[in-house]
Amino acid sequence: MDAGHALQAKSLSREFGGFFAVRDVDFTLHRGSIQAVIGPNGAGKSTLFNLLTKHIAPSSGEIFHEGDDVTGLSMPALAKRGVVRSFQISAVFASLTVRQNLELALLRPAGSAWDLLGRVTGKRAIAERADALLERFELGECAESLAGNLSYGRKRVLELATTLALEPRVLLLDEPMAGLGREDIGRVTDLIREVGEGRTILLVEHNMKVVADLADRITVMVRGRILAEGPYDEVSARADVVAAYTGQGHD
Amino acid sequence: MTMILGVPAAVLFGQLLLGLINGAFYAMLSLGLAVIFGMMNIVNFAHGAQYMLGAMTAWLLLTYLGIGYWWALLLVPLMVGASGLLLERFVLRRLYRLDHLYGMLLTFGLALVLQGLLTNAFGSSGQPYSIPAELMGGRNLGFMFLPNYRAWVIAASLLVCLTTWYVIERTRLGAYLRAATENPMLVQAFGIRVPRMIMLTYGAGVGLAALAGVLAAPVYQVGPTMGADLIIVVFAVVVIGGMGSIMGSIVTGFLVGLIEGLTKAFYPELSSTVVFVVMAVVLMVRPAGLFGSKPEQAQNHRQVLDGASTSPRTQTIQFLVMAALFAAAPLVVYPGFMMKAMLFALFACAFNLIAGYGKLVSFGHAMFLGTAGYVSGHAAKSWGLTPELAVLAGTAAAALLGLASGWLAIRRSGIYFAMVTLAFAQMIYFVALQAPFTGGEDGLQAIPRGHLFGLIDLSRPANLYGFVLAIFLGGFYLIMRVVGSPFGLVLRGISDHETRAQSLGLETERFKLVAFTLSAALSGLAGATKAITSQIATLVDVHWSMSGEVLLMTFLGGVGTLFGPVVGAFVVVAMQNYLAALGQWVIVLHGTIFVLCVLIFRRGIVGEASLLLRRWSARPAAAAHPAAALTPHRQPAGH
Amino acid sequence: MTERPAENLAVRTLEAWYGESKVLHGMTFDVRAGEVVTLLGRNGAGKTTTLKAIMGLIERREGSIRLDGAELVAVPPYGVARRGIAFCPEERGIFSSLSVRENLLLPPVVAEGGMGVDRILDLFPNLRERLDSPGTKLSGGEQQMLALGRILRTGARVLLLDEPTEGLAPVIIRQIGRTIETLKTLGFTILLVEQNVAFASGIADRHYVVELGRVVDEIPGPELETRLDALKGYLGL
Repeated sequence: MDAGHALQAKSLSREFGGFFAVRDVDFTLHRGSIQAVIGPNGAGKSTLFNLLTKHIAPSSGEIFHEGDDVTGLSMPALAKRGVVRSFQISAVFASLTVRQNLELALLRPAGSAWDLLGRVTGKRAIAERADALLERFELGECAESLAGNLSYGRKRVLELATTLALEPRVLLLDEPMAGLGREDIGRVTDLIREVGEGRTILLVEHNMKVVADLADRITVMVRGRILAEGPYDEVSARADVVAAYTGQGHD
Repeated sequence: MTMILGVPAAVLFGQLLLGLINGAFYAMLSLGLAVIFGMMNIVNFAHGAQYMLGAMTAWLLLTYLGIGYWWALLLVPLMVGASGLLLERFVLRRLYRLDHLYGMLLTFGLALVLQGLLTNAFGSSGQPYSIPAELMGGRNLGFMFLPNYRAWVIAASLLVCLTTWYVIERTRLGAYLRAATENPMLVQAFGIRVPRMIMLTYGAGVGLAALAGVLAAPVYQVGPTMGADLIIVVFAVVVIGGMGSIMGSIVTGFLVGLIEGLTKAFYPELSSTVVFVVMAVVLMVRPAGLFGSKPEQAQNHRQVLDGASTSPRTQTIQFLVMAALFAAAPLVVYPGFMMKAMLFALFACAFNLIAGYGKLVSFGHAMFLGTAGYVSGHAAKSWGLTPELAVLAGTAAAALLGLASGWLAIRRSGIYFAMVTLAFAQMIYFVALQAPFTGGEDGLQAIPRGHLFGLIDLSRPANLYGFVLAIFLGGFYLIMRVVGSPFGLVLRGISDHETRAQSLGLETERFKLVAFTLSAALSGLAGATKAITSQIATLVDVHWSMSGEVLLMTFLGGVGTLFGPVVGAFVVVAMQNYLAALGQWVIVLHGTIFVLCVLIFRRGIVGEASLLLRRWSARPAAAAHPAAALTPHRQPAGH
Repeated sequence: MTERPAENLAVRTLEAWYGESKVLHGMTFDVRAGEVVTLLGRNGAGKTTTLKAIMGLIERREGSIRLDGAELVAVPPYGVARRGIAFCPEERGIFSSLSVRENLLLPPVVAEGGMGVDRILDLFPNLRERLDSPGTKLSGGEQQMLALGRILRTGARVLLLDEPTEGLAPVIIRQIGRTIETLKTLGFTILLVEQNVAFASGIADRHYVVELGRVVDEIPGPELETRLDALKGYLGL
């Protein structure tokens, strides 16, 4: 497969009890780009996303990462290859502090996750990276708070920071703006653009303004299939795309 | 005489009949468990006790009021079922928003209370309950003799099971139940009072257990302990069948009974363990169970219980203070008590490593304590190993057992993990009961203490105390380091949100397995040392009640806190030592503490104390920065 | 002839939370008896949450929800249903362990005047021949018809429909549309959550535009087509 593609899906399908949430989808995530998948509710965006990150297994089809077939890999194995996802409902380690959340993400890349006797606080490199992330994401003042007690917006920021701690090459963000207020949306948009430098990002997002701001290319899904794909301005102007969203006109 | 595969036909059919009888009770009880679990997500550990209560009530009615079998068959399920209604309304209802494990812990406590109370009142020995006159005698079927009462039990239980199946699968009420199992909120939105329906379901499930108890009264001895061992087998049945379907529970129940009967006929030595072997095989091949459909979902709405952890330096200071205190303790406290308490504390700390930090609550940790005790006792007594080698052998055996059982058990989580570990422990118990080297009911006696490294004589009290102290402190220090290590952080992360940990590239199952094995090894260390110290290794240490005790110690002291299990172990051991005169009341007390811990005291002694301390010291700061308040944000109840 | 009440369902400054995240920030709107009213807005705006909050399916809600003057904000979901409000959820909520017939007969009758099963099957003939198959073996469109059909039996007069056209083929959407029109002529009061603007404009008397948990605009039914550009702005297109 083409090595210029960060992730590629070939005739990917997923069936739930007779219902095809994703049907025969060919999809390419281009290396170095920010792409978005959009579509009305129930279009299969989340399922496609979960398939690409191996959160669920496909019923049929194949997935390639940088040209290698990764269809059979587990989520941790994919993460080790640098493909990391975030979750729609903020996924933080609630009973750990903010700093510990970051340290936990940093342990594996530093080769320390299996250290049974050392002290986390003793790992200099990890501490420095954690400090840098805390500063960059403006989480310094709540570094010692339990992540479970953060505000919703802060949790989303922490999740993004945790994901980035892995220095992923491919970043998949599942509705990063869900549940955020207006100000937080602006901040998180800026953060995503910033971290997008030199990385490949795929987002599933409902907020069209965010998608227009961030994405180089968008993919429109309707009823489990891909309806349109291309640059935002071009695709969003297409009559069939507007129709899919507003239900106007015919199929 | 006809022989089938080397077994006389009459024996074979006789065992098959016995198997069917047992299967009938497995089916009725697992059916009730499945219905209750489906509606309430509570594993009703008290189910065995409620079955026993049914049998006991029937016996009481007969003995004291002269009310006979047939009336009991009608009255007892109603009476015991009514107690279930009250229990749901006033106790269990408070637990629905909590982790499912709390329901299991609370009903475990209730089972202890019931069993203890009835033992106090009527003694632990079984009472005979005579077969009603109408069902005396039996008939010769040509190939075997069939007692009438047994035929009746099988027919009645089949009728009860199939009626239950019919009500649930074929009636309108059943449709409500099935729908509420899938989506209780939507069913409420249709105008159905789901909370009341849940209460009635629990009452019905409990009544079913009581009915089984009445049916069982003339078959088995009626006594307060008759439900305890049965419920563990029923848990294994539930794991084998999966809790997905009603018919699945019935079929699995009878099937397991028949398998037991066949085993008894062909290879009696295996008959009491075969159900657990089947469970292990099912876990390997089909982890969700034979009829199970949906694997349990990860629960991510756990409360945030513990606050900021203490710094390594504070911990080290606390550790040194504890070491000094314990070293000086024999000056004021009876050393025998100290040694016993320290070893149980180590056991509880090892348990806490996996239950508190890994959120994998095992109900079978006694298997590691007891196995290590037997192995080290045997090594010291029969092989003449020096104590340190004997302890090492015991620890290694527990670690191996932990690796094997953990490899199977971590395929499930939450309540299923609890049931699987409980079942494995029961299997080990039966092995210990039958294996030649354990001494059966007597246990291993007169284990030599020997000379440590061949030099230090452990029969001298001071040496022995030093040995135990060193083992406890070493084990505790190791646990302390592991909890504070990168590995410990990963473990806590996994227990918070396993999928997220996987998405960070962590192979969570391996971490859980290593933690479980480590916990087993350290439990073994405690058990092995205990055998050398006390010079005996008995069935007590592998019995399920020991697994319950370590749960109690840990939850009472504070699960997920470093020193909580130590405090809990000292309290429980002190209770046993100083309240020994109370006899069975100690069990009632244990059970009550369980119930109280779950209802009002979930952080345990150390957890609650440190929370108070933090609130007290954080008060001025919190007033200045309200956002930094330490209390977890809790929603008021919706309705 | 008795005078009809000015409003059937009156929602005032309704607030609701999912866990710690506040989703509704003071929804205020009315649905008058016999009206079809839609809530429009993009995903995550709080439309579904509004319906769930009315039903009491949200853990925490504040404000006021009145049905013919009676306050519902503290009433549990089964109580709301018994006062004559029926809910058809977005995910349809067909019970997989129940047959189509059982699904159809599940919601208890809360008032007189509900439709008979035969009448419902006349509205949705596809269901008639599938009555004994398991609920989840139906196609998406049939599931939607079942979800809609089963709340018509109960005698409820106020229907809350959450995106009944979602993910369905145009021919099915038209059938659902005709059904809703029939229901309107029968005097049902309908609160509809929709993303499909074309569908909504053909059916509703009025539209409320929802953004970030508030009503930001009210559009009379006939004006929707002319104000499509403004609406696209709201929807973020």
